[in-house]
Amino acid sequence: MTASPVSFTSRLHTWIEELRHSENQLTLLLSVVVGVLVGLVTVAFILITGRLAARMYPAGGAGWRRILVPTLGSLSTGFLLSRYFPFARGSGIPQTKFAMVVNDGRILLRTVVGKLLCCSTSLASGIALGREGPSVQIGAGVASVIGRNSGLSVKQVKSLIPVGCSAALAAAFNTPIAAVVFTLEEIMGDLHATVLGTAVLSSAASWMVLHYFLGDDPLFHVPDYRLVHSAELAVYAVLGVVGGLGSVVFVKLLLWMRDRFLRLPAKTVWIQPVVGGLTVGLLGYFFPDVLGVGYNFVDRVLNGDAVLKTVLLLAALKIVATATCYASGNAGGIFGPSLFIGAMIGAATGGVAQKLFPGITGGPGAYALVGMGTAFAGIIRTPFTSVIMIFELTRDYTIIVPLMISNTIAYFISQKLQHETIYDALAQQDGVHLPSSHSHEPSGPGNVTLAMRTPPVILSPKFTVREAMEEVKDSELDSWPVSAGPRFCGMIRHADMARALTLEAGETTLADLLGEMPAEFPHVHPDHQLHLALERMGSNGLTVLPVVSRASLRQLIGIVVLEDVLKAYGVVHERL
Amino acid sequence: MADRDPALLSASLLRPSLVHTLFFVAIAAASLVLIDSMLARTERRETAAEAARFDRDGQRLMRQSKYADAADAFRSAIANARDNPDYPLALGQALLGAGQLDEAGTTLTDLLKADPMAGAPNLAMARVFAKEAQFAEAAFYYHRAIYGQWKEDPPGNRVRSRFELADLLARRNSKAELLAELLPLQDQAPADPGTQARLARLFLTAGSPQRAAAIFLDLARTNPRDPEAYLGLGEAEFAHADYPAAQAGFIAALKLRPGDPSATKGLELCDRVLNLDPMRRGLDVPERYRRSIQVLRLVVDKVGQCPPPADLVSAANAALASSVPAAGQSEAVESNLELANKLWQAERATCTSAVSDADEPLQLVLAKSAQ
Repeated sequence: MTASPVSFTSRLHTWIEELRHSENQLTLLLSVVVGVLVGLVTVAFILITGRLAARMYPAGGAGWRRILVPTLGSLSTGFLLSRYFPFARGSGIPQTKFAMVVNDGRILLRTVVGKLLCCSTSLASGIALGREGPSVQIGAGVASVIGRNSGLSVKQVKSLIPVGCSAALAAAFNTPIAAVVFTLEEIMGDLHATVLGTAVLSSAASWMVLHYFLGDDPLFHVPDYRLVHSAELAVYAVLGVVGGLGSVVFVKLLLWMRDRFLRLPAKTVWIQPVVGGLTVGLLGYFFPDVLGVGYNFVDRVLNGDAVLKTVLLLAALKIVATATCYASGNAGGIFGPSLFIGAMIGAATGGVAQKLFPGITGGPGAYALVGMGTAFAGIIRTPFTSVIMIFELTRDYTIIVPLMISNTIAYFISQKLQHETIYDALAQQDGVHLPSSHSHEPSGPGNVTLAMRTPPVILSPKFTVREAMEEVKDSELDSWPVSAGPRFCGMIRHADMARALTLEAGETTLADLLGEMPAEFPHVHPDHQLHLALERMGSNGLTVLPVVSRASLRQLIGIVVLEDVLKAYGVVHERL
Repeated sequence: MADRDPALLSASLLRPSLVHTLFFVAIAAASLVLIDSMLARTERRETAAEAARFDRDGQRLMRQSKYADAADAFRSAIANARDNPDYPLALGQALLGAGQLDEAGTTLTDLLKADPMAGAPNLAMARVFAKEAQFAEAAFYYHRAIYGQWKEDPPGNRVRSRFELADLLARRNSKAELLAELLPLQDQAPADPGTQARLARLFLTAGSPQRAAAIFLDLARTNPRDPEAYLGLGEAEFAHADYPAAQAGFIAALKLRPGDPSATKGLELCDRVLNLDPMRRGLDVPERYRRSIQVLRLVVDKVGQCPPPADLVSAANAALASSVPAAGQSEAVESNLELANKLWQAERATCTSAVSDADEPLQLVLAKSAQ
């Protein structure tokens, strides 16, 4: 007996009505939907990139292709990125964090399509960047589009973003557990985030899709490595130091180059990626393994096929190639290149160690394996993810302890020599302040919004000091925001204005008194915890801090005053 | 999300766009399934073709003995088609040829993890261990190849693997183990003359000349114009100390292939042994006695370089000096040979020099008389 169409429709309606009224069920359903869809998109991304690359570099192709193809690839994607998809540039991870923290979880479908199109083209053409970061933005974008079009609230849409991220990374890297950990560690900045369950669900769903279409083949095939001698741990510690230093060199070079590119005229943005394409093309002409993400070569090195000079040279060339490609504005991520650089550094360290201590060290392949995690921990700065990821990529448990030692050392060296993480630094170069894990630490009564107030007076930078003093004479505060229309110029302190009057500079404008606004100044963001506001007031000797947008330090949202902060803590501030 | 205002929640959830979105998601997913299926099929086809091309290159380079280049080609084939076990096997063989034994071992170990009883990887692994002079391990993998699974021509591959193991044991002069491998081969090996001759020669090495002689005799019967069969027969009979039969074999071989150096040498040695041997059939007693004196004299001359116990030398000299009547010559033959053997053994025990070619017939005669 078959059910009639009417009864089926009726049952469907009932189910949808029930679903609409059950937030948990809806979240679970959407997690699976996002996981499956992101898995399908990521599989398409992987396959399109692979097939395109096979056509751009046919077997036995002429050497000139290695120069021409990346140059043309970067030229075409540069044009598309500047003209049609401006938000699809770069890795995708800072953009995802920006969307989640600042932009109410909003990533446009156009950005998703642009990222897919531009990254497929640029990666297939041999640009020395990876597919994993872009996949994260694509996954987050798919989740955002589904969430917004399903009529979810901003909060719900934002909670779907990490779901999309973990699904994308699970499929792009074939690492379902590391995908979840990375999402919590880097995207959310909180390993205890409440999205853990849904992220796991979507990661599993996406991985199953990948498994269905591409099989269960790990990204790298590694022989069984064993710790040859307990003294070998010291060599792995040295690898941690070398890997940490290598990571810092890479990050600093990339940031320095990007800073230089950002200073170029805006009208050159569309052609800037060609610098990366041409650089990688010229390097690739002489050393073909520099082209692309280079996983095949990594696989060979992991299997012990490593000549010391070659791996050293490739580590250096890849650092230059990736930094140039990324800094010049090509679309692609730094996950894959980090693994390549790490594998080369590891193989080089292992090669030297084997020559010096042949009896107590394993082959260079084992060190290449640990080196991958080391560079990942040093560059991406997610130590927990790096351990889990290497384990999942290689499915080799025996190397875990050396990996943990090496990663931890690399992480601390990187943290010491390069204060900000690469994604935060990249966002800051774009004028965006992303939250660090520190700013999310739950402590005290809550975040800044609890004590934030609208400024009683906003001064114009055109005011003279005398006019400004007249304007604020009834105010209880000791500093006030100065804004030219919507553009925040800085905070002017009563003491500074009083000093100017004493020095008979009362006709000086506030703009002159403030001078050029520095890149960094004491401020807080609305999501910062109140204890952070208190710390910044204390360390800078201020009683008022501006509350600015994460999207731009020039966008004033309000102010936070010491008295209000203390009230929030339940302390009455006695004015002295 | 749990602390959300219920009114706002229901307002947002009651929007009809959820159904529409799920509908469009379903359409998008169905389209992507089709696209992904098509792309995955294309990829599988193209990477398999690419892998096959690398494999062909590798096989060509292997034939040219360019093993390192062949290994590179096979690595590329593997990168394109990881699920094809033929490529890691070919890589292992190329690495073996290139002398990169560690890497070859690693590659083959991975392959054997997936299928421990696969014949070809076990055979390649046995070769790796044989090259590393780890003979126990080599024998272990040879046996797994012999009893393992073969995709093509299982009986032929098993026989070839066993022959390879037998060759290794023959090189190591492990006679008992060699004989243990040859006995099953006698039933399994193909009947072609080349294989049978190889088997017979291995039996010879294993110290089983009768079996070798039987095979060579069969070969000679099957193909009476085959000089190799007669030569082998001669060598087998010689090893069996049947010198007249050996002589006949060598003569037959020389008739079919005049001037053959092995047959000539074998025949010459046979003649010398037969001319010296006091126990040869058909000799009368005086001739036997004369030959026994000749043998004893040769031994005494030989042992002068490394003097044996004086009593034996005195006894030998006495025997040589004595004149034995015809009635006692038969017994004297035996005592002379016994004395010659004792002297020879004593000389061998004290003298470290090898037995010269000239003394070989003497040694053979003494060995035969001692049986």
